[in-house]
Amino acid sequence: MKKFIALSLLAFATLQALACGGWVRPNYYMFSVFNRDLMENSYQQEANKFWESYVGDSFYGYMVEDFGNVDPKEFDKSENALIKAAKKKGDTEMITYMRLLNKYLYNNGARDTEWNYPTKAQLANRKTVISQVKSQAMAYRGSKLKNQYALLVMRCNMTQKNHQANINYWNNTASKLKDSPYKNWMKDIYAGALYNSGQKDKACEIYAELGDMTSIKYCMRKKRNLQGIKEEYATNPNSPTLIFLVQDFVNNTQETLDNNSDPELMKYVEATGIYQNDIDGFIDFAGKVLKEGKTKSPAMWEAARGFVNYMNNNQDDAIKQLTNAQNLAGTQRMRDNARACLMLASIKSARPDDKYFDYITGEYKWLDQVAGVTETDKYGNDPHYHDVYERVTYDNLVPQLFKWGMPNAATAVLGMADEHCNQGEYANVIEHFSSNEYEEFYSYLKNGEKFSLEKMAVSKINLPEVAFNDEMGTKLLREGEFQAAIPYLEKVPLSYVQEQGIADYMARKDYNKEIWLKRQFISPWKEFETEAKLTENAKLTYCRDMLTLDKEIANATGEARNQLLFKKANLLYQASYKGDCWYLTHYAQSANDEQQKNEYDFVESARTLLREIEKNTTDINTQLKSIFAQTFIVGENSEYCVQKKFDYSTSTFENTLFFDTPHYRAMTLLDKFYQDNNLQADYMSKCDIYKRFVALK
Amino acid sequence: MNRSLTYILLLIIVTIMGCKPAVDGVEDPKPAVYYWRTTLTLDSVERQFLHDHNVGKMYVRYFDITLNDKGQLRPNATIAFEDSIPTGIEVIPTIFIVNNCIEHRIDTIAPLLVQRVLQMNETHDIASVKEIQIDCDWTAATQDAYFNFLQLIKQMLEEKGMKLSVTIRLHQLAMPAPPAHYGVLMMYNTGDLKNSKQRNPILDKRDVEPFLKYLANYQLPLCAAYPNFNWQLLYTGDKFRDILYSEDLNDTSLYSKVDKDKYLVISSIDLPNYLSSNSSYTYLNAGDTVFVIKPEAASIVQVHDALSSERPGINDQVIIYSLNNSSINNYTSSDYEKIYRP
Repeated sequence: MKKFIALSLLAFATLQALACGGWVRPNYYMFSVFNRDLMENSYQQEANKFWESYVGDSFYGYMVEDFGNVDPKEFDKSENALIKAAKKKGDTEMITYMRLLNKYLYNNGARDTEWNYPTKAQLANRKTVISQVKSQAMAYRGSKLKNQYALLVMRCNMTQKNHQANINYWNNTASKLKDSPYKNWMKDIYAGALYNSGQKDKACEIYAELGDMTSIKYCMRKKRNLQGIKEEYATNPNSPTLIFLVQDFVNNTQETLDNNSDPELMKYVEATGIYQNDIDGFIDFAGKVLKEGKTKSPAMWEAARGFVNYMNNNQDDAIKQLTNAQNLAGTQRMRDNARACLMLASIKSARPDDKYFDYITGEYKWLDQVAGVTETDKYGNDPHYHDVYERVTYDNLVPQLFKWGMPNAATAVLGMADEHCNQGEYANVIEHFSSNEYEEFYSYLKNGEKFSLEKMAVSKINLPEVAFNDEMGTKLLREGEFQAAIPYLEKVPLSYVQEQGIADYMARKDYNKEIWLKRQFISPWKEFETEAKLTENAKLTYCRDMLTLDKEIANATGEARNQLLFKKANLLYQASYKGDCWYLTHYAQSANDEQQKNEYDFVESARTLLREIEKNTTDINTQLKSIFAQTFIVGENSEYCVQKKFDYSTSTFENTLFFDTPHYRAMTLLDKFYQDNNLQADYMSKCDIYKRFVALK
Repeated sequence: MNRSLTYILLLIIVTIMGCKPAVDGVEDPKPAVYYWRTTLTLDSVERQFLHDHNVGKMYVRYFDITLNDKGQLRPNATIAFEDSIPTGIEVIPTIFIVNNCIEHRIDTIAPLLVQRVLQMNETHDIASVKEIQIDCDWTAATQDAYFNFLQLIKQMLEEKGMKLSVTIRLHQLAMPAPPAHYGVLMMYNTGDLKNSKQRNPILDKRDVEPFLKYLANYQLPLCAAYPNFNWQLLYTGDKFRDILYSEDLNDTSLYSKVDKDKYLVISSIDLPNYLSSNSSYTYLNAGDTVFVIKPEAASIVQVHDALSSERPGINDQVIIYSLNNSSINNYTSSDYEKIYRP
């Protein structure tokens, strides 16, 4: 049990460290009865899909914008991709339409941010052109482009600010056309005409019906609160605006409760604060709505109060209502929403037994289905259920599994989730496992799972034996267990190492080179242009070399022993996270790396050996070299006492000596030893840092 | 020339400059207003104001100059002329330049700017335009480029028999005068929004006083512009958040009046944001406070008189910022007369 707790704490610490590392998972909203992506999309983008299919693979969105800037006089000579595509197809009907559309786009005033301001004649001409385009569009009698021409008519009316004409045209003509993105666009323009004619409520209803949530958000900007919801409901219990307002309210409640309504954060995420009286008021109001029975979407209202109850820690009510909502009337999305919210809410009060794990396993299978999680459709059009997956798993279920003392299950679920979400949290936990923990987890994957959730999670994790051997050998090497690492590393074929990111470093950096005399810097941009072929697995060779060296040291005495200790100190430092050969103990390196909990302290061990050499040697040059190497370690592991600083008075970088540093003290001792003993060493005269120190001291 | 002789000569020059009497006020002064909207339409209240106060000049914002997404200098928010200006009122096209444009070779657009303004006048039958005004919050860092740009514009306008005026903010009084025919001293937005509880950030004599000493010898003819607007300042606790624009604070479903000019937000809402350069919203959370502030008429008059005593003639022409139905009623007709008087 002790081991489990330690493992659980470690994994928790790792997850939290990730959050502190700069990336924090967004506060994904759980309540979703309409696709939030509709807030971003426009009908222009929908219409672009037509051009995409018309032009083919070479289509880019800017081509549509570019089309509007083609001077109508230059239409026939234009290189615009849309025009060329129509010409290539010999699509004369389309070319006629495009010519007219181009005239409209060129003359509708959208280009007035240019320096050339139109003359009176040009302005008058624009008006004439827009009228002509409108007349010609109205005269279209074909069927293929009926929707497009009708849209053009309405756009002309909009440019002319003839809102009444658009209201009439929609009622008499456009509303009777077949369904298409163009028809929705027309209906949106019609809603705009209503809005500009003072019929704001009706306009809002159409925006809501179309899912034009950007316009809805604008129309409803003063009603994003409980009072607004009540007013809209009083006007029409089935107003489409309620879908936006209720979802917005519930999401804002989540944001407020999760973020303690930090004003800056709330503003950043465009949320409004919802306070306790409104939360209580909403729960009561939703109950009243359900009781009245006037709503056609009780599933939405029941789920809304259920989720607000969950956020408000009324767990029993939340579970009851979210369960009930799935059987009430409403859209399928509303019932799915209730189900997803229940999945999350269930975690808080669950018991770790077969019944619960069977339930949550079933829900994961369903979530996979609704999220459309497949290899080809990983980032589908509606990412909501991916967000649900992440929030349920990373923020709720995994911490709960740790709390239940099931660290292997928690890690397996992380592995399953990373297969979907690619967050790298599983890999990070694995990376920080000790060799013992890792071996135990591997054994769990093989035959340790018990509950259905674990079985599902384990089935999604792919950990081949070769990967296990490689990681296990590396972990043992990192822990300083060279003998134990060898059997694992021996089972790793060189071809497997060659495929890893560290191969290029392994091939180019030799751990036998003394790091304090010569750093091995390589540039990934320069050196990696040609692949370096490995001839051996340096990790395995390193372990063997260390064992051989230890035997030699055991049998050596006097200065010969000191030289062997020197060699060992170098090998230890090279394998540390600070060394040039970090690839021996790590799979990646960064400037932010630090000594890990399950890592042998290679740096300190090297330093201890160097101190021993300094103390025991009778050779003054060996003593000097030992002090030099120790000074190097001090500088590398704190900060160098000589640094370049920008001098604002001369606008140049100047070498500056920092006296109050460990490295300054180490350099002073090195310098004193060197001078007092009147020594000459090539590495001292070539050392830039030492030369700068001497110049500034 | 040795160093001490140079200092002596400089001292003499500075002394001569310092003793030079202030240059005159503006030519042909008339009661004036700024018009700062994107659509030119005048309602009956606004027309009545122009009539009642014999307004003879309208400084109309034609467009702004901003940087577009590609880092190019472009006109933005061009005014739409949907109404006519009453006969007899001279229009002074005014262009606002965002300060960050100055460092993007602003000189290259001087001819484009002049041409665009002239074309707008011609297109919309705005006759007898004698002058263009440039408004920019330039600083010491952008001064050279800005002055160079103004010099080019001035030269081009002079060739056409026209003049150039500029706006002058209080802090700019301590700097060299820009090359223009006259300046309009902006007597508004003088304070710090974040400390509005202590002082009125629109206009407070205490914020003006440190700059009065520069007035007498400022080497540019000057007139003055005074505010008639109010601000609705949104606070969360003690922290200033935003300015609201003409929000209906009498809407009791959203606001509760808790004191004179102080309102409590009782229901969360979001409103368009006017401080932000891009279109965004201001989020009012329940519990926030809105303070309504405007300078008292007496304060404006006090500043008006202080300016006159330092620099007689500066109030020969007064411009009210701005002509707007929602602002006009902040002061009485009699207040306006006091502000407009020389």
